[in-house]
Amino acid sequence: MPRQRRPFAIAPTRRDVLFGLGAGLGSVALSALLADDRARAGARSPAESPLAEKPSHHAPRAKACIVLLMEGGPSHIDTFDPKPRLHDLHLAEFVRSGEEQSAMSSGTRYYVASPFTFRKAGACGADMATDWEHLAGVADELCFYRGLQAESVNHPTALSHINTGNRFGGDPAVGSWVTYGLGSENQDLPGFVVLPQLSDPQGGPANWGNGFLPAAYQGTPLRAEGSPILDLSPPEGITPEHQRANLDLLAALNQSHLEQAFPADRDELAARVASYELAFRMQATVPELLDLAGEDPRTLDLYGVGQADTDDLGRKCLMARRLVERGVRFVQLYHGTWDSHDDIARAHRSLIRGVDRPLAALVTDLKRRGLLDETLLLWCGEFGRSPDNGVRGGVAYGRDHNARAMPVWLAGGGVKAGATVGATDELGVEAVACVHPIRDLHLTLLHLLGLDDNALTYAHAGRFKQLSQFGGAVIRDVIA
Amino acid sequence: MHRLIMTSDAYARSTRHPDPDGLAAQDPKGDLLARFRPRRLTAEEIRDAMLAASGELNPALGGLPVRPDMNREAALQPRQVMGTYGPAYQPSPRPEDRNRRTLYSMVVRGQRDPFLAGFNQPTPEEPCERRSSSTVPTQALTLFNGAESFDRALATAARVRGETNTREDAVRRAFLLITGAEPDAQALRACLDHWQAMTARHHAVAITPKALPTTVSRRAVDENTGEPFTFTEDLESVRDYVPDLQPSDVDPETRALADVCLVLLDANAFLYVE
Repeated sequence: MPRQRRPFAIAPTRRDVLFGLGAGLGSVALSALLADDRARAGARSPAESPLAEKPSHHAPRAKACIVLLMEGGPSHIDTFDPKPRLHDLHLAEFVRSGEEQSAMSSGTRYYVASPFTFRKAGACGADMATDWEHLAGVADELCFYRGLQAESVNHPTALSHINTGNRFGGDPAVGSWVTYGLGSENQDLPGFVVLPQLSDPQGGPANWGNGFLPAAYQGTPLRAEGSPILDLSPPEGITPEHQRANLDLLAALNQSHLEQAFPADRDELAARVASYELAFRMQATVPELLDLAGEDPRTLDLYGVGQADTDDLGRKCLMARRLVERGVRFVQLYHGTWDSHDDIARAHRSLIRGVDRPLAALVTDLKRRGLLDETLLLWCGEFGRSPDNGVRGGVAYGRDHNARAMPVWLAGGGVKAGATVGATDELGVEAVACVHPIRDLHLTLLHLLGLDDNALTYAHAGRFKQLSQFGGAVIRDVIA
Repeated sequence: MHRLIMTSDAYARSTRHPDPDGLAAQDPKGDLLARFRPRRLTAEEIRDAMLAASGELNPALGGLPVRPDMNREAALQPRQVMGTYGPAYQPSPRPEDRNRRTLYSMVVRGQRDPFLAGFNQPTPEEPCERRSSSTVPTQALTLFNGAESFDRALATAARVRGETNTREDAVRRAFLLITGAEPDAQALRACLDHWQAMTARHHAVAITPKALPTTVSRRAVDENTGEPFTFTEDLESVRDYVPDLQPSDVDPETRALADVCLVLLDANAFLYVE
């Protein structure tokens, strides 16, 4: 490595580079460093925004990713992973014995049988609760994965873990890493869009935060109520013409400022000028994006838009398709809360009714538009639920949190269609086959999107950081 | 020490190099630091500098954390916390508390101020050895449409009208307060013309003072049933809230000058230190 002149505080120092080598990442870190330099150089040019498309590390299997996050922790036992043995043990006292210790194990606990009935769906014979009437119709497109394990049984830490790879909040979200690595196809929309619920999940916007990555990679929430993006519209009484007049004065002042600037400084200043024009355009493009009037009524019906139970997620799923269609790289939507401690029959049944039709519609719609092959879908919560419950066991009973087994399905680009991978034990206490931690799921998402976790690094706090924290393994068994 | 540095000849020197051609030939990228390279203000600096320009900044040192104004939609955003919902963010009722330096703002990790987060204030969970300075369109939306910059622009306009006697002096003063420099003839002309044009527009717009809501209704999903429910939260500090200067408090001419000030608060001449 030639001796580097240190231009300004942004460039990596020799020490940064040596740190990378010392950490054993060797040439990988170095190449990431150089790539990072290129990214920075790109960011300085208005023609190449921080979201400009960047080459992937290897041929991608999917171009975009949609994460369907069922916040609160859906139960695997009552959705896609039947445990008939629990019927024999129903309301029998749960006995603590070493490995079978429940994750939330205070007080007297009882085994709880699932109130849901199951059937085999699709040609693949996937296990699905019969409440999944619509999703069963696309079972042959899905890959059910039973081997995933979380590490925390608390919502905020577990949510932070599934979203950022770190239980302790503040690290970049998966979507931030992906847009940092690949940029986005559409420069007029954010590269990482979040469709949150009315209420923020525990931990708040840090769940889609950019962490230590530049702010250009933070998730932009399209809010469920009120202004879809904060400050998207000027205050009441300011017309578009009024705003345009202000913008024209701003452009004139900035132009004269730009002409007097030193040539090397002009790119960044010009990028800011351009960002005002883009913001002005977004005031039209975002409402257009959100306006479903142009959709075929049959499509709206497919997603269940306009029907009380399914309208919320139906709109979100349809919006996810519209975003991916427009070249947005990473979309995450939230639904919940699946935290059914007390009455799983009622709560989970109501929740499944709200998501069944929209989820099936999303798979169907992406497929018929030829987008499913290049879009990766992930459905999961932050953890699963326990086969036993506390004193609330009885006529109306629910389930507590369980980090050692959870329901997951994937679909689309590069994923095995019509498969069930991994297994949990006979009671659903924990995953026992094809067991992987969350960082391996993250690695798998990156891999399918054409990114190598070890090469996707960012120098922060004295070392090169990566999504998986310290590496991991791709879950090969879910890949086609 | 700070005073010595900041009053030194080297520190006060213009970033405009006396020999731009020679500089471009010998140090085209500025690697040799023959001159100061402009940098964008940090999130806190932007807010503090706006308050300083408008004369609203309370420069007091120390004390308990204060709660500045936050985008109202973000402040009232329902958010889940363990087993329940977090309270709405309520700004400090008194302007002299709200308009302290940003350094003294209370930070709630689960409810960050989107203005500050958008301008690259580091995440509070982790140490930050070096800030990034991205340029994204949501920053433009915040500064061009947001209440924070509108309020500061209005207060600046009212301030300079009170401090000057002619329209020309008012624009010069606004320029000096916001960008730290006098306008050149062309910029002065453009701003005066804009003020004139916007005055006509503001005369045609009726402004009615708006009262802030004292309760907020929130919707969420019940954990036990999986079904939606609503609840109402009392915003107790709104009752004592003393608003900053509002459009309905001033004449159309001042509101029009506030348009000029808003543009200046969005200008690169304000956002970059040179």
